[in-house]
Amino acid sequence: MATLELRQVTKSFGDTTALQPTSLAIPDGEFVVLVGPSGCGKTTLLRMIAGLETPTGGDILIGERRVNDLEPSARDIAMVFQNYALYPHMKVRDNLTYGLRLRGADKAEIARRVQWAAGLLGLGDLLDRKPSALSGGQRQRVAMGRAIVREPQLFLFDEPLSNLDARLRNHMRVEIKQLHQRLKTTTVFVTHDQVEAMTLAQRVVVMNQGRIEQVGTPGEVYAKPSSVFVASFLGAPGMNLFEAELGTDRATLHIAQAAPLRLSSPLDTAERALIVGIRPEALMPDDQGAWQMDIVLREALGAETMLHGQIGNQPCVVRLAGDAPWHEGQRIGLRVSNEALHVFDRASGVRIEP
Amino acid sequence: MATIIALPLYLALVAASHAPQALLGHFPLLPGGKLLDNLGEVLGRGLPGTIPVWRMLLNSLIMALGITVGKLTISILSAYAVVYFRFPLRMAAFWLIFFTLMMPIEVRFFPTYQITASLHLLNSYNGLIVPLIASATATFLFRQFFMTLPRSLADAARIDGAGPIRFFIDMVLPLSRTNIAALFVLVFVYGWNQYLWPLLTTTDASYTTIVMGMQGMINAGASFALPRWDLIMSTALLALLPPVIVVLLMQRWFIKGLTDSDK
Repeated sequence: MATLELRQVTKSFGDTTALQPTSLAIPDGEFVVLVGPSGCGKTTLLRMIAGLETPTGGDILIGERRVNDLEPSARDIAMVFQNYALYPHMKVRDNLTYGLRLRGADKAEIARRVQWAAGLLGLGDLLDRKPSALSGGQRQRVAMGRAIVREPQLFLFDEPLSNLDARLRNHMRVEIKQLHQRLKTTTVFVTHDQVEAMTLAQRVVVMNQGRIEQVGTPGEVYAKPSSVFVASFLGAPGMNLFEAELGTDRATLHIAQAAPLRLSSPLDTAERALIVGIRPEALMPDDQGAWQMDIVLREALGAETMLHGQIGNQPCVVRLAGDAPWHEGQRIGLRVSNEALHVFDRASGVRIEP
Repeated sequence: MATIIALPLYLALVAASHAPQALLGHFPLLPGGKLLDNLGEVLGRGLPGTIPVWRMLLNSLIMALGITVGKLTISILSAYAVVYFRFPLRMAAFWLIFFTLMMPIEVRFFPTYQITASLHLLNSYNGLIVPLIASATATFLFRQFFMTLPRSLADAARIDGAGPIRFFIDMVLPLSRTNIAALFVLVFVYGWNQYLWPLLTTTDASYTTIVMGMQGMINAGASFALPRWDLIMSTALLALLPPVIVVLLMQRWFIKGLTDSDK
């Protein structure tokens, strides 16, 4: 187990910058999730940590050792790939032990580790099968087994769950979390799925366009998104965002075709053009509410109901518990509590604290 | 369809199994009883004026195997380099290989002959084999196959500590075995059936291959008082045998590979 530190790491492919200078420190044993839309640089960053790509600039330190110039095999890491990358012509047992055999580990030690990993992941009956005879979930488990038999200092996961169906994905997510709780190995997990990010991570790193937008616990990034991007990316559905103008008292937000919102304290900003964000669950139905929404679509999910509609000409989603008694075509009154408001600068997208 | 293909073979079999006199006048419809005698005679002694057919078969076998092994080795290695390594002019190298695909082999015969002659490779096995082992087709096919292997396979092997050579031996070769088997068949038959090149580069009769030998026999056979069609057809049957054996053997191999479904 080890710490991981990135110091001003950059990467360009020719003229295109894949990663702007990025610094990040991950303490020993932490489970960190890099999340962002495709093309945000998260996989590039992971591959640089693995040693599969060479950084254009900056230093990567694993356990306080600079690893920039080390081959992937010398970095004491293990990686799980999106398509598993199992060796198709080898039995599961040989897949697990290939790395150990290349390192010249002795037979008894290899057997012990395979036994241990197979027990941990329930692979006992599969050891003599080939990958083609396994289901998706089993292949995923073998890929994880291949990573843990090496007992590396660092686990790297590259979107490992995106090839699985929804049910299996939930199941494997729990397994990965439990595995980390038992092994306590420092882990970097890349995904584009914000649900995976929120549920797995001890800390979430939200990335966009080759740079880190925000780092924090899932609770922090959800409660205090640092930018419009983070606000809209995290949460399903994402945060409702309305264009707003700040009044001269610096505490009133004017929104087109909707009642103005009052902030509890004036904002310390000269900007007038703002964006105000409200989570779908922060809008309460209230007949006397200041806002009126025309319901366009109702999604009943059982435990909760999503109402999609329009406030003025801006789209809005409301999340209500249970089987809410509103339907398409109705108009719903909404109350907004002023603690639930997130305010962002419209030009830069940066959060403005009240 | 099968009858049409089988008819010439049947005629060869009938002709090979009679005494030469029986083939004059009316051609017999049924095989005679001299097949083994005729085969034994051509194998052991050959026709008057030629080397024994067993030497021709051996020459052909050496040439065909040399071409096959050489071609597969060279092309799988160059495809591996083109797909897995980044080096200057990599794409230029690939296109250069690809363009030679377009050229008929006969076009480069004279320059190749010139080079072969300057290297003093005429009348040798090397001269028969080496100029024919570069293959754009096989390189291209291997390249296309390597491109279908997921990139992450190489990444995973690299993390497991396999260098380029280990990766080639442990992953690429075993995964290519069905392709190798298929190409082995094609290239062996191609090598076995070479006619023009051996005719150009060998003047010494001891390097006669079976295919060019047969041509010689037909010419020689016509000048005898009694055309030895029995012996010529026996030789033709013998010339047919090795490619057929290779096809049958390898066919079992690559069907097994295909049904293994571990790709």
